[in-house]
Amino acid sequence: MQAVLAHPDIKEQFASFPDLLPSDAFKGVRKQAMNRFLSEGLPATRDEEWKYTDLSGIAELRYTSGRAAELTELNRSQITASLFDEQEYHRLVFVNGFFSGELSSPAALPGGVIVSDIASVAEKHPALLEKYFYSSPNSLHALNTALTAGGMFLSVPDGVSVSKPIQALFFNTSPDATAIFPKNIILAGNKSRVHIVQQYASTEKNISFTNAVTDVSLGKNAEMLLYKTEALSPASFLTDSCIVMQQHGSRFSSLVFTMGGQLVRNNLGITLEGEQCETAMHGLYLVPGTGHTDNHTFVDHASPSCHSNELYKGIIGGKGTAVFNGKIMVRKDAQKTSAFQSNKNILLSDEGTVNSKPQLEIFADDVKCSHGATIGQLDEEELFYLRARGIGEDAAREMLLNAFASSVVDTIQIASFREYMAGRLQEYLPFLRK
Amino acid sequence: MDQTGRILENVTQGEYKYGFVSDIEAETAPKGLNEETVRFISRKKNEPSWLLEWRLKAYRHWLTMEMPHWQNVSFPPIDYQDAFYYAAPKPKKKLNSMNEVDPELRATFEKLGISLEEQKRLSGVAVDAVLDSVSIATTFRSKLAELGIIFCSFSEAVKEHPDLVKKYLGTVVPYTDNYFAALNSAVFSDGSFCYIPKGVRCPMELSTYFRINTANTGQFERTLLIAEEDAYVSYLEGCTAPMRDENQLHAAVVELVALGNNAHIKYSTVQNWYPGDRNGKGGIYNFVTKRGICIGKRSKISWTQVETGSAITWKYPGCILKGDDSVGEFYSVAVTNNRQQADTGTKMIHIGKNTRSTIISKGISAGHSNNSYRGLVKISAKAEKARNFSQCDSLLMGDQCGAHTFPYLEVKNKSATVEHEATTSKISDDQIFYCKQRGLSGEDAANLIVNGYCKEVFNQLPMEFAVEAQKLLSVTLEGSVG
Repeated sequence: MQAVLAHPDIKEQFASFPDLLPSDAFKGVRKQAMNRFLSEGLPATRDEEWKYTDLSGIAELRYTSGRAAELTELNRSQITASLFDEQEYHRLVFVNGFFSGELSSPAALPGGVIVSDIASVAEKHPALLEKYFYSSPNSLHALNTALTAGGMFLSVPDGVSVSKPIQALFFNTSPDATAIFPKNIILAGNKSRVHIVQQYASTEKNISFTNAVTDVSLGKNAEMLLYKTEALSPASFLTDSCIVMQQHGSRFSSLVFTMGGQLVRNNLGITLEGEQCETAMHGLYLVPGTGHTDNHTFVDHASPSCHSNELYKGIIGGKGTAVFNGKIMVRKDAQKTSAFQSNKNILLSDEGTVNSKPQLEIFADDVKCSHGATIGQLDEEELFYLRARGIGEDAAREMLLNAFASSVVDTIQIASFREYMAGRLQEYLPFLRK
Repeated sequence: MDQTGRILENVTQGEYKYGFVSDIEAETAPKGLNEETVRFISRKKNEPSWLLEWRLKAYRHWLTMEMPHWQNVSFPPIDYQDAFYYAAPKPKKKLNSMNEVDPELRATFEKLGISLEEQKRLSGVAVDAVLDSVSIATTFRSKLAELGIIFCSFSEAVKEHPDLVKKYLGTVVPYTDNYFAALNSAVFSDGSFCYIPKGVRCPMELSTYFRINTANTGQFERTLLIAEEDAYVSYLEGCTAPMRDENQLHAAVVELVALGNNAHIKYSTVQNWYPGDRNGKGGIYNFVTKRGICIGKRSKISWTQVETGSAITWKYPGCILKGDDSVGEFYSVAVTNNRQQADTGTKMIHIGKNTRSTIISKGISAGHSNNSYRGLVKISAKAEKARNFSQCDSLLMGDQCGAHTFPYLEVKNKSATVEHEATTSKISDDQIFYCKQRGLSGEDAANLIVNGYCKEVFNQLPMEFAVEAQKLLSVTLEGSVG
């Protein structure tokens, strides 16, 4: 493996990465961010937040930026196959971290809506981005700020409803280790409405480290669906941070669907800044024999009368490891909060591991909060019921796993995407038994 | 302020009712901690050399350790040099009956509502009363001895049963375990030792009443309980401490060994040490390491705790379930009021097959307090069909307090079933209204509801203890009906 080859330290590698953002406006803040990363490095397991997820594997590769990667016909057809129907979706495609105008098709959008690539926004309207190149909360976020070369920029003005969902596809093709830093910015104005499907995918042979950051802001009474799928090759690393700010009366619904990858870490942080916000977080992780999936969610109830609901489910096969850490914080003044959280896991093998840590921190008294976590296996009686009716063992197991996972898939509010996901789930389940 | 608020205020402002200092001369070690202190304690107690060596090893290890920082409680750094590590009432002549016990001491116990005579006569409880580190009187000793049960102070056990002590001391909580366990191992003064032989069911509840008495004396108790095959013992530990302004450190170690098949140990604690005054001044630091190991098949260890006192409670009574089909239980009520802080919970380590554990934790926070549940459930790869159920509920009384839950679930076996549930809520206005309508005062209503909320845990306590626990609960929360 490449791991044994001598190569520079991960900090040196990234310090020598070229600045690929076509704008000088952010040089200063990017330099600062790089210094932050260089002083802290990748998070280590001694940090409580990273207790169960060891990133040292990331540092064992020698990376290039994705720029030079050739796009073969085969790649092109693989990407096209991953795209949704042009009639139903606006499409934005990034290949190895760089925007592909050729594959994207943002069709006519309602007045004032901007869907674009961060790189071109940085070049033409750097002022729009200034707020989002801020001093980072942690070293991975800093690394993204320092090295990003593109990502989705979406801005929906007040009162505008985008009727078609937007598909943002990040597809990695390079068989040589590439490091990719997508930065996405999603701004929904007051009373606006937008649905987004964000996808991280790769070819089977791809080796990559994707370190993504998505900044989301919802104005008053805005409504947003943000669905994310992560289907990466067994040699890929993904660390994703999604930071959401919600204003008064806004409604946000997220879904994170992870299948595969060598190591996937999702940070989802939602701050309920305004009153009467609603937020829903759903997650489904299918962890194959060699994978490691870690979901960290944090809901900060900073205002009264908000409602949050969370359901994460996972199926873990082979020697896979799943980590869940869900934190609900209810601040002192956030009375009348209701917050619910549930994490359910099915372990298919004795070599798999689940580490679940649901966490409540509550400083207000007039609240209703609960969390639950379960780790178990398929119910023998349910299996027996199916087998007594002539269904083979494998088919019965699959049927039950499918039912277990479907409760998450069923929450998807975009019909065509729901069907697509149900199909993917069906396809992927047999992999877990290997 | 509405009715509820007033009641809350009343309860919150209740002063500690067990604050008095009994005036018994104490023989103390010089202030400060060094190897000489360790040797002094060992010498005072006429200990064999292997124990001194063990203490010194622990002390040297302690020097290399750092105070942990992950806990959800805060307090000023502890000056370990500014405390006494040994205080014993001056030796008196041997006592043959209760009447010979120092009358002042007896009065102290009576103020606490646990007159030794009464306990002896009414409840059939054998009491090994520990006042500041040295056992004063042990009752029912002969009755227990007939059955082969050894129940004595730790120092006596070192003298009379050195083999047992040597064999099991530090096997469940090694001195390397954590900072406070190391400190305890170095300077522990006394404690209780109990051994239940094969096939014996201890006919009475064994009980020790701890009291921290001499100002500035960190109390370092050490308890070791061993149950052989088919043995059963129920052990009670209860505490009150007089009012003091300086923080007192209590770093005890409790080790339970359910050695044989079907051994069953039940360990109950009611703790109402001085919690500090309304502004958080003074109070006990309760940093205790308690752990049990189920070695025998089908053995069982059950922890029940009612924690109402201490400025800071920081402990995780745990079970290592090594024997196949062994069972671990943890029932806890933790109440914090004023500026109290609690970070407590349990650890259930499943190693054997078909091991089961249950965790029921009830946290109640009032005033400006913070109450955290922190628990670990670990299912190792070999623990086939392990089963865990955890429930931790938090009740908030007032809007200045905090309730936190930090459960850790680590599972490495597919046949394991682990469930965790937690809720946080307050006493609803409807519940209070319902009770008030039926003629109960707001405070009585709250007491009723809180007692109902804790019932699952109180039900696990021996009867006399359950009564005391209920009394304590209402005293701690006096007036804080939310």
